[in-house]
Amino acid sequence: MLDWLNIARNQAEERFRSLPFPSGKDENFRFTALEYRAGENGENSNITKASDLPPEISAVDGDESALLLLNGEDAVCSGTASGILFTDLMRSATLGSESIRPRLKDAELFKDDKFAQLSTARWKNGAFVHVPAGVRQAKPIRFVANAQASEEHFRHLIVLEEGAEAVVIQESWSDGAERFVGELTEVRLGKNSRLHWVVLQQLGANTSAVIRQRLDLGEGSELHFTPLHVGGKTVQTRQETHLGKGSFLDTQGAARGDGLQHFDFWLDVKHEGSKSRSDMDYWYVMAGKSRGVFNAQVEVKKDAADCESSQRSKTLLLGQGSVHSIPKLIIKTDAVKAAHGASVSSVNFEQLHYLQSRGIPRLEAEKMITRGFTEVVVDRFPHAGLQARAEVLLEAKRGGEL
Amino acid sequence: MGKILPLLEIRDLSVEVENKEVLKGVNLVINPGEVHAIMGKNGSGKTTLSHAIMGHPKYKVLRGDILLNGESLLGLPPDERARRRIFLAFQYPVAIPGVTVAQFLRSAIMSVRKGEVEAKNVRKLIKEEMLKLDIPDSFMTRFLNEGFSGGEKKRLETLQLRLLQPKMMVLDETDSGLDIDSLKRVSESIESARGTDKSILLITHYQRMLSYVKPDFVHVFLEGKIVKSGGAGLALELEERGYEWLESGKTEDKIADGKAAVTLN
Repeated sequence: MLDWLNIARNQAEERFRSLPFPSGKDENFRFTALEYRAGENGENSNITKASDLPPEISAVDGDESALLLLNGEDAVCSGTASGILFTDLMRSATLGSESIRPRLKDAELFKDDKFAQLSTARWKNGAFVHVPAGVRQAKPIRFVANAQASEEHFRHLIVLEEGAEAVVIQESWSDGAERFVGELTEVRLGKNSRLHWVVLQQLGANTSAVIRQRLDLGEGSELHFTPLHVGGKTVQTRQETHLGKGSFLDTQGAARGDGLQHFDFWLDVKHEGSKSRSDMDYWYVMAGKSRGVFNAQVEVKKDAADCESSQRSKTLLLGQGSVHSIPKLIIKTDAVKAAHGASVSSVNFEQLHYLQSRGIPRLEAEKMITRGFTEVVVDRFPHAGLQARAEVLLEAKRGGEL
Repeated sequence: MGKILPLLEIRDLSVEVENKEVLKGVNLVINPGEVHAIMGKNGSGKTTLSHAIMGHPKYKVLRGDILLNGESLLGLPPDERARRRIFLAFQYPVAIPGVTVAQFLRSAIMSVRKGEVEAKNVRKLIKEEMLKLDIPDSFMTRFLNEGFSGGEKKRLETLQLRLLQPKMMVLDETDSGLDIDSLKRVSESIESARGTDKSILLITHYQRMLSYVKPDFVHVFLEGKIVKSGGAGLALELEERGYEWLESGKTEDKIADGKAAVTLN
């Protein structure tokens, strides 16, 4: 084991133990109760082979260039991603990649966050994507984090150097057993680089997950972010974004819940450079007794002139689903265009009647209305195979809701 | 020569909405190719009639029947009625966030004109009709009726009417919310959808649309019944005199049993 990494882990473990568990009195946990029970953390895993995963997940799609499967500590990479480094994080740390060490030693990363410290201390493996300056990866690369133990932590690092371009698909998967998953991802974009980052979260029904994401967008860079959450029991995603001069964060994200599922997007966007832009749409479809939380704050720093920001949450409630939407703006400069909004609607007879009056059968009309809320996101998925898989996951949640 | 089968026949129709009887024995016969206008004060039951024809689940038929080509529509869901080529242009079309105009139009066309229009030609068909109504391409990616102005909603309703090619068109105050130029364009578009086998039931408050879409018959609604029927001249008379003269006891030609004053077949 690497000494420097052990030291970093031990420090994080100490911070985890010293920080209190968040309670309902904490602003960012008012609507989300995270339960944590220490588990076996990667020991005694039942699934060790890639072939144990569903075949559509464990094989490289024809429209992809490479796939990395993370089964706990084990990692299997197939396909080739020419010009870029695409491997598991532990292997890269062991080989001493220059760009990794400072990142894994960064004690400042979510230092106030108990769960982020837990993942920092206990991660077993993760994905490492490094795209050198000027390299453009045309075909998407994909990694799958397969949680196998009752407690499992992953750490991922995606780095694009100046002028680089890539499409990265990240999937989270677990079976139906009770699990706690921690996931800490860092995305660092160099000057004028461009990343399309797609997240498909399809954790098992009894998995609780704490996802932490730190995004640093360098000057003129673009991040097109497309997350779709369909799985898990209670899933909280905290995303902290730092926008440099002229950079652009473009998000179209969706959560599709049923039963007692709970999805919490806790977003913190910091416009630090002038002329930076952020445009975020989050779509929620909450059926059964599922709950959604949109807790989004945009802060425009004093020196960040001529920024533009827009954040919106749109919710479709089915059954007894609910959503808490809390968009916030903190503007510390004058020349800014900023907007935020939240809408909540439910499928009603008038909408169904309208579609039916145009010849569309009732069942199809119901599907159209619910599908409409996630289609914007699925349409952005970079290849047909992934779109089809997402549709299957969404389709499995439809029916009998109205 | 046999007797012409009416395209739409309404027989002694009584309809209840939220436990209140709104239509109280309406009789109306519309033959192929005819344009009928229904005029009347707010709350007289005009819109209820349109929803009853389309089969809105909130509108419960208490008595009577609605027949299309001699077959009863009662018991058929709205989508089946649409596939039998009845079209209702709504007075207040609902917004459906998340469903784009393009997705909606495609599904509607493929449902109503199944076997008649090939999937590969749908996009071209929509584009052609949009051009005729001067509707910009940006409509296609917008969510259905969300954030639309009154005029935009009516133009979208008219676009649907053109695309779905109904036989029986029910237009519920399609003229409201339109400026003069839009009214002219929409009216011309509706007028051009007329045909020897297609009929229009036009519900309106005002004469102005009837200047473009010439009615063969005009009916006046009062308290859930047709109280007077006549030719196109009746609309002008109503414009001039209002409705008060038709109210209880003020006219001799009021129809006591609710039947249309003009025998239409």
